[in-house]
Amino acid sequence: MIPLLLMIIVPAAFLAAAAAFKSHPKELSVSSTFIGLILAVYFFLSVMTSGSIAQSYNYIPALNIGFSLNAGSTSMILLLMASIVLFVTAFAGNVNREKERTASLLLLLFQAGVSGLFLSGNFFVFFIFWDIGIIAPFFMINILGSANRRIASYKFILYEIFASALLLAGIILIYFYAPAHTLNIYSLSSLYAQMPLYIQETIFILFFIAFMINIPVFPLHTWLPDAHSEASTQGSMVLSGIVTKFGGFGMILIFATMPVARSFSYYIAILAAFSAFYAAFLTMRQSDLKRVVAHTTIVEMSIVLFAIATMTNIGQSGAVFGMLSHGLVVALMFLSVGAIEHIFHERKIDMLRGISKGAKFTAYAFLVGIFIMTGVPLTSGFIADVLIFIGGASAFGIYGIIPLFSLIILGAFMYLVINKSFFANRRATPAAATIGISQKMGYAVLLAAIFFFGILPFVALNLINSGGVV
Amino acid sequence: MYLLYLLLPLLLGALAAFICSFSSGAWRYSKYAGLGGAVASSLLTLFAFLKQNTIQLGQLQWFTAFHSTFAISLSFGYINQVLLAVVAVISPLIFFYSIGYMDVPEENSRYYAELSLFAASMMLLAVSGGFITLFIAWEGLGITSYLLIGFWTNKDAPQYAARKAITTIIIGDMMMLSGILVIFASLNTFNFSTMISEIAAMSTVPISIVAAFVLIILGAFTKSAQFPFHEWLSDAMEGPTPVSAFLHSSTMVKAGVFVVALLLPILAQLGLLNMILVFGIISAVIGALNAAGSTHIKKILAYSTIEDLGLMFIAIGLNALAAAMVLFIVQALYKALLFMNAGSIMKANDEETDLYKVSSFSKNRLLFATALIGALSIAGIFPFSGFFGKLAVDSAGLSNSTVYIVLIVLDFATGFYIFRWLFIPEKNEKKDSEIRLRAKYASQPKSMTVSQVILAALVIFLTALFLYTNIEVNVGAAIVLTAGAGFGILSAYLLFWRLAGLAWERSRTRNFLSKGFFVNAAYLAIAKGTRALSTAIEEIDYFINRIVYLGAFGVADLGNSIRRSETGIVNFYAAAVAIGIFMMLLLLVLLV
Repeated sequence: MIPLLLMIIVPAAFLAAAAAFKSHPKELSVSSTFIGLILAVYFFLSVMTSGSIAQSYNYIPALNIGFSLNAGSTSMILLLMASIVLFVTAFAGNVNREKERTASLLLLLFQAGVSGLFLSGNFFVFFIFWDIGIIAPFFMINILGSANRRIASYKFILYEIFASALLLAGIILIYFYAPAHTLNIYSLSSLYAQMPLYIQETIFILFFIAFMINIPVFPLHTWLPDAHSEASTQGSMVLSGIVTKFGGFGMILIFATMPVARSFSYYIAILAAFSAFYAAFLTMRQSDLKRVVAHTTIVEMSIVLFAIATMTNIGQSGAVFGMLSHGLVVALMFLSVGAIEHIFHERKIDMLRGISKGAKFTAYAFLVGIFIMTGVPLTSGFIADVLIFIGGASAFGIYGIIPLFSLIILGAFMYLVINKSFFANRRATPAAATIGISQKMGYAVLLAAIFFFGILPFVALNLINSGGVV
Repeated sequence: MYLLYLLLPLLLGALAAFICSFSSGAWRYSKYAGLGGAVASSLLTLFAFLKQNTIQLGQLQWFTAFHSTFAISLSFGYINQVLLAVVAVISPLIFFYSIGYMDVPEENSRYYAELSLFAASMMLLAVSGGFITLFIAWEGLGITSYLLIGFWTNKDAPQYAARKAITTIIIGDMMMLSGILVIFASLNTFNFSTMISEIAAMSTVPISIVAAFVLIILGAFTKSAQFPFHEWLSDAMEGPTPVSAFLHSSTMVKAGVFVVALLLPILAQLGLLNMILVFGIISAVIGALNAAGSTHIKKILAYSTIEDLGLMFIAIGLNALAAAMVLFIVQALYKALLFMNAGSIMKANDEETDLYKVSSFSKNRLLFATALIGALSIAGIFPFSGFFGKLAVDSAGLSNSTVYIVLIVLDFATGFYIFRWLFIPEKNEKKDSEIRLRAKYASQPKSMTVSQVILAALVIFLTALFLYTNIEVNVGAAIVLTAGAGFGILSAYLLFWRLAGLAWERSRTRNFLSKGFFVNAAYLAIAKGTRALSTAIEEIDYFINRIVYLGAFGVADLGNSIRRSETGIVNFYAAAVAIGIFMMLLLLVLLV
């Protein structure tokens, strides 16, 4: 068995190499993410055949803190998604090859952070990689972003640092109240019951707010539109595709392991449903293509939180599938928006006309992205919607499907956008540039993954069926 | 699983046409790809009908999630066969007609790819035996319909129409999906036959299941253009005419009727038939009245489609499935024929669509003959097959006197508006010289003429089939139908042939009818309301953002004021230290 640690060592080694050598930064990041993808597929297959993998190393024995890694079902599905997105980001994300070296270094740092986070076996490791996963995108906004990048990046880091402070407080509480100072995420599920109830509730609330900022859900969502729309294309892809999944992953962990979650779930479901509608209406008011896509993230992730809060197996597996689907589709959409900005030097919906004429592939990639968001069958979005709302309906009866209707508002607006800016070509915006083969390959890889999981959903679902959500 | 192979040629055709779009010269082969796929698919369907006893039906397991199995189930029951037959007959003719009609080289590949995908979705819908299969096809229909309505990307009106259509479609899709999922959450099945037997076994049905079926009916209404979701259909006429003839009259808009027909036993048990009946009546009346008011050569037919679909829902609402299915078959043929005629007229008049500006049908004898067959058929005059459809619905309506009166009025209105449609162009002033007009009419592509003749022949042939099967005819209803339709035709003749229609056209009634009962205005009001709500939410979001900023600025201000204490004056520091020590001592004393 190859050690799971390799998932972290590989990007770290490539990061060191990229820092040491000045030449070929892009090639280094592409090969690192490619090796990461191969490893993720390998671990995915081995978890599929022989169940979850847990590996542990001594780290601070005096405090009984180990460096433990765990590959379970949710973590492997999310890691696979993240690896695909990272690979595409590395080779297709940087259209105009600006500041390539910085971008590659940050991407490698982020890759290490993501791998560590999704594979973390205890909260200590979780926290370390959480912060690495926050710092890299911060610089992707702050250094590589567009005009308003500074204020957006500070807003992002302010929220996220606040979140990680809450997270740390929760972890410290667990450390002192858990028997034998254990921080192991998976074995804690049976130990929470031994803590006093008010401690459990405090831990849950601390964690919940931290993850809620990250997911994000109303009213703590205001960092997201700025951060996503000001970041570089690569930054937006990883921010929306992967960083928001940190929170989703954390939510799944606490809802599935903490028994106290059940007493909060009802209110959280209401909040998430409200947030989905709120964000859908907010999307309607956007005029910048990138901000539109950014706002759709809030809608989709609110629906994911709703699914987690149904507290049903099928709903939570739908949440995992929804995160898988959303990560891929939002990366696809940000990639196409980046290409549109590159081709037409324009992001305003009112200014763009007839994109399908100047950029055929990009336009159709975006259109398929909308199909996935609105849950068209044979794409991964459909499977996610079906599972989530079966869970919703079995938990809350007929009211459990209400959040589905937020997709009407979202979908109607997205089709309006695509209709006005993409297809109507009476006064088509002239194309100022073209995209290379690597962007088209990027669309192809993401679309292939989306249809793969949409047509063969059992590949991911069997993992959850046999191993449970965590 | 043989039934799934029916889709294969169409999917291959779509793929071939799609590939053709990448090469500059290959567009001319895409039409053959589309036509070939459609013909092969229809032949396979014919084979399925011949060998229907040997067809293996079953569930193709797709995936499982925690004891819930998701399966692709197929069915080849009576309702499935009706729809499948309609699609298999119409689709090759439409592809054939398109070869002549679609003379836009650079767009051909896209057109045939989208149309083939549509036909494949339609076939899948027709063989579906469970909600998963049905919904896959349902979304396929919605998307291809959206793409085909907005096919002319260089004009604004089709784009507007496509937007309107997709908005309605997505509302319907979500209602449908939510209904399906609620039912699955309580019954754990997607399969229609299992569902029907399980619900039949229940003594009291939970309210959530009733609500779910209401949602499904509403979803069906959006697809079948029933009140209050009907206005997209008239705008959808901005699409290419073969598309109107195929999607928006004969096949796709029947999807809603098809779903409701499949679920009829459940809906009857749950007591939802009255709802269907009422909405069917409203839609049929609105459709017929709007058809009498419009002057757009295709929109008249579109409103008439709304009326036809309303009639089908009326029949279903009266629990007369057979009547609905008879109309289902005959309507597909005559409406496709009429749309083809409209397309021919438009093509001969440089895409003119105003009824008062086009030249007459009778410039081309064959065109006029086929249009007359179509018009007589839709009006319900005896030797033509439309008669049997109308008669079946009228006979079903005999059980309820109110409904029957409405049906008689509708018979009259149908005869009136369809012959208005046929007569007005005859009396128009000629804009072009006789010779040029004749040349235009005579130079119609052969493929268009041939498909119209075939369809007209089928309309008549179907009558022979009905007579052969010895269906029971209620003579009284037949006489009333003929009288009503004949009276409608007579009034159209008097008004539009003898008086050239000016009195009607300038009347306030027509002006009112052409407004479409302000449904569009209602849509706009809803859109405006949604927009206002979103503006309000944007304000709230701005407010939340302000709070965040104020928090950040507050911290910065606090930092600033603390910074001001660092003055650099030693005396100040010494005083501060002294005060600090004093306070600490005080604290110590107080605590101890």
